[in-house]
Amino acid sequence: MRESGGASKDRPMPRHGVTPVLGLFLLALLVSCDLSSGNTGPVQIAWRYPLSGSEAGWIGIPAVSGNLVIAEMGPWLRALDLSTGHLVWQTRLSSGLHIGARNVAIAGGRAFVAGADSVYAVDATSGQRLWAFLPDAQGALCQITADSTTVYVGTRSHRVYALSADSGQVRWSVDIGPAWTNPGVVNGIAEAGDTLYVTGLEYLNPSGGFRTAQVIAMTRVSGSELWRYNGPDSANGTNNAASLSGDLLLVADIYGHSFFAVNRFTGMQAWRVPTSGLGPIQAPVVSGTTLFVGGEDNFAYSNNVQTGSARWKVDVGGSIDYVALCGRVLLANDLELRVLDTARGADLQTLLTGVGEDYPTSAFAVRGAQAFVVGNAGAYGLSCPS
Amino acid sequence: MTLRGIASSIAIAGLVVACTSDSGTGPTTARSGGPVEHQQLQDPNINPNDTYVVLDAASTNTGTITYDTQTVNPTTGQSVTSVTMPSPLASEFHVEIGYDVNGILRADVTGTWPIGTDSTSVSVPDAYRVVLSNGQLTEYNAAGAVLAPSTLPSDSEPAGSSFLNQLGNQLLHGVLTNGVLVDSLQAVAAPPSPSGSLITFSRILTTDANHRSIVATGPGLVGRGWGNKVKGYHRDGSKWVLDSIAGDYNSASNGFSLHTHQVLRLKNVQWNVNPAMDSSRNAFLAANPGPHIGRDTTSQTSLGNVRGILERQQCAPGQCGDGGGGGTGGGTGGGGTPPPPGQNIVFQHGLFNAGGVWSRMDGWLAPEFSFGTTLLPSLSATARAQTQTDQLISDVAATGQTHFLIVGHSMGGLIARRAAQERPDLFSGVLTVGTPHVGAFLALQSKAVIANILTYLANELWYGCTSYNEDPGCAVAYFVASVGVSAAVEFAANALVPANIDLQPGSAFTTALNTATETFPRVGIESYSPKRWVLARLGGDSQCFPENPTCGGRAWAKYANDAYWGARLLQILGAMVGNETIYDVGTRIVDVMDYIDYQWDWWTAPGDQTDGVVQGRSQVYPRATANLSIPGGDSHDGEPNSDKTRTKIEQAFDQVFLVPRLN
Repeated sequence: MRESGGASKDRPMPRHGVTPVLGLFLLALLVSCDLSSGNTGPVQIAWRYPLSGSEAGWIGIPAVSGNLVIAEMGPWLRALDLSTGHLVWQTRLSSGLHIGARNVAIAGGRAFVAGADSVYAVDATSGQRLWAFLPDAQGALCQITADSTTVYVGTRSHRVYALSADSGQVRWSVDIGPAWTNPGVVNGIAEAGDTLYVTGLEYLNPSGGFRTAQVIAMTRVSGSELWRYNGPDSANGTNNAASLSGDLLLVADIYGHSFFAVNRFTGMQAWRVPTSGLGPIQAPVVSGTTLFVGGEDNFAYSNNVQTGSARWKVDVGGSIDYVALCGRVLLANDLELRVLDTARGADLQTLLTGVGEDYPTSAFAVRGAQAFVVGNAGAYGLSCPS
Repeated sequence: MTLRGIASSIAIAGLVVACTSDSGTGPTTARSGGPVEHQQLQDPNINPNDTYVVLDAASTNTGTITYDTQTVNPTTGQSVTSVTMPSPLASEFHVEIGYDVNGILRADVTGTWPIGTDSTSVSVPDAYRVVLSNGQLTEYNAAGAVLAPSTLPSDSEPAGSSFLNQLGNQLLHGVLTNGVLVDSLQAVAAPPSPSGSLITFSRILTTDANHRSIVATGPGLVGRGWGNKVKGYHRDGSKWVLDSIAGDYNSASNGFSLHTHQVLRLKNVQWNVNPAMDSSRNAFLAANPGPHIGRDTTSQTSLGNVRGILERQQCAPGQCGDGGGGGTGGGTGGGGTPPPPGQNIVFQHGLFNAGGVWSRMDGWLAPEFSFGTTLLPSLSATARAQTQTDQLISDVAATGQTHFLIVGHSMGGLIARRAAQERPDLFSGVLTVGTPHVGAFLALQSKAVIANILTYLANELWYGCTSYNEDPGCAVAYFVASVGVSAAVEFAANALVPANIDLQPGSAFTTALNTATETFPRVGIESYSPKRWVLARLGGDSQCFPENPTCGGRAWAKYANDAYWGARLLQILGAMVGNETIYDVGTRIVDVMDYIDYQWDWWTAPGDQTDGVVQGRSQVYPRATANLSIPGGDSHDGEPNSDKTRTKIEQAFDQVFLVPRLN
């Protein structure tokens, strides 16, 4: 004989077939059937490429080339298959522990990095080293760019070099601050059409406690200056290249606690959005009429590109170094991997929280709904909702 | 009636009210007054033809600790002699418990966790679901991933299992119709006295025809610290179904006292009974009660009697972490340019530390960046801040070089700032890590009071333990008392530590520091640890590098979490199978662990983030060139050795200070 009972006996069924608690429980049960994924939510870790010691922890910007993702891993430049994480090639570019590059630039089947010593070009398919160039000062602080014929590099001597992509020969070079009496650097170069957009940082006193941003448009063919935007005061500055959207150049002003847009044909400021604290280090990323940017003030921001008007901002808990659009979601790296809803900034998921030693350190490289990031113990392929 | 008798009656009445009023007008009262929840068995591994229960459980814990001396409420600045948890620390679970096809007890508990003490809980990788199967406990996080068992030295048992062994053969064959579902309240109120049981229910109070309470009292309970205890039931068909268990716990020692009140409420209970199987199980248990393995609840030991285990927790030189660095040499570099002139750098330690605290970080950074002269001074670490500043300036000036970038941890950041303000000719930039720029709340508190109270609470957690390895709670109790307390109180007031004067909020030193002009680039790195188990994290980080899988702060935080979940499951299992002693042990452990976290947070960072020592807002460098914050960071003691700190320092070196990269 059996008997049974309980609260619901002889009671009407609830309006919903499964209560929230039961739903979560059911979800947990389902997930327990496939624990290899290690996570639930919109973004999945598709693969993990383990890194140890000095290979891990790069804080730079990787790049996608076809189905490969190319990143610095200690002294190595490595290409991994973006879908599987398999190592395709690796090339050692430093006799020390790190190459020290800010980013990887891809163009014309080549990958370019500006390391702590030299600027390198390698074949993006095979990893074969093509050439090295020794600038007058380090280019490691600059987010470089390239096209099929030329690679553009900035230095801590505030000089911009245009190098032949084929040979590394200097096509031209210019000093963006020949009259500067204090240190300054070129820390980012973007390009569009026949123009380069150079972001620089000028110290206004010897130690750099006072600093200001410089944004300079110059011709791609000769480096001739077209216009120059000067930061508004003595507490502003950039760390990376600008991004482009239509007529606008979008700039992250970390020290000026803001991000702003200038007309890329006139150099006139279109708008400036103050952040809640320290500004972003990475220029905004754009989708249609909307931009997304992460601040060192812990906030992720979404704004209208043309006007700068706010759509939303959310506090994620830590200083955001990088964001990226991946499929239908926004990824943010604040030494944890946050997944945000692009419409409202809602926190959808947190991955790589550092427990088990994995947390992200680099920027993201994205192709469609696939993303890549380097962390302190591995490199990760991410699968986003498309 | 004596005064004590009157007080006891009032207390019983209060507990009865708590039980009956909480259950509302009947057993079908739904959450938040909404529609009745329909509970269905979801765990496919629980046999639906055997006895099982499905229910929702909510546990609340309130309490007050009274001190023998005053302590400062950092929120109000007032001196007080007691601290009360202002609202219940609530945890809610969905529970499914029954038997597998082999008739072995299986429990599946899913929760939202933790609630109450940890504002950063969203990033805490706590267990979210625990499953008991074949006597073994498996934990899952909120994402559904299995949490690996802790691997602390000298603990060879799976997490939580040694808690559960206290159930004897009830671990595999416990009978739900002896606990959560009973035929007769009289049988519960006059049970046979199992060995070691301190609980005897003796009175049945009738609320109405369908609601009754049974009450346990007695001098034996009071003598052991347990106050009155009341279990509420409602009638459902032929069964009395457990609605709630409410109890008090009172303890006093050396001028401190702790009073807590715990309530476990069960609702939305759905059940099935297989009498034949239960009868068989009862017959087996009567003949085979199984050994009681675990805490000896009839004995009183104190942590002072079991010193010696600590040595096993300390890492031998070279065994904690990789020590950083270690290039592989060779390679095919571009044969590049000589690096720019090296950056002169000073790594400045904090209170109670020495230059060596930065050795690992220097080892990490030196192969990456072009450093010139590197100093790791060891100053008079407890002296007044100005004294240490003078010493630092003297050390740096003696090198004959200038343009030093100075990286300061904790109080070392204050000294770094002061030195750079006084001698801008020597210093070109300041980076602080976990520095109390506007003072630390902890510095307001007496070191002796904090140490005594935490040790007292750890002793409460040690209740019934006779050895470090007895169960994870015993290990955590021992570790908190032996290591966590000493690591945590370094900023607390002590007349023998002159520096404490400068570390208090509003001190003359910090006020002057924050009003002076700074023209050099300056960066503050803020580390925010999960508040949950931060004392254990501090203790681990004081012994080993944070990521060390056996003795670092991250491992100890996880171990504390495992202990908590093991105790929580012990509490629920005790209630389900009617083992009062086991219920009480589990309840007491979770209560005390909650209270330790609450009390520490109350002292150090109420309403704010923290690294376990310095409250979040104080870590923010006023008017800095950049403040960089680390969520999920390591504790204060782990910051100089943390790879997360390293990542932010690298970022600051690259982007703010323009430190040359090394070829």
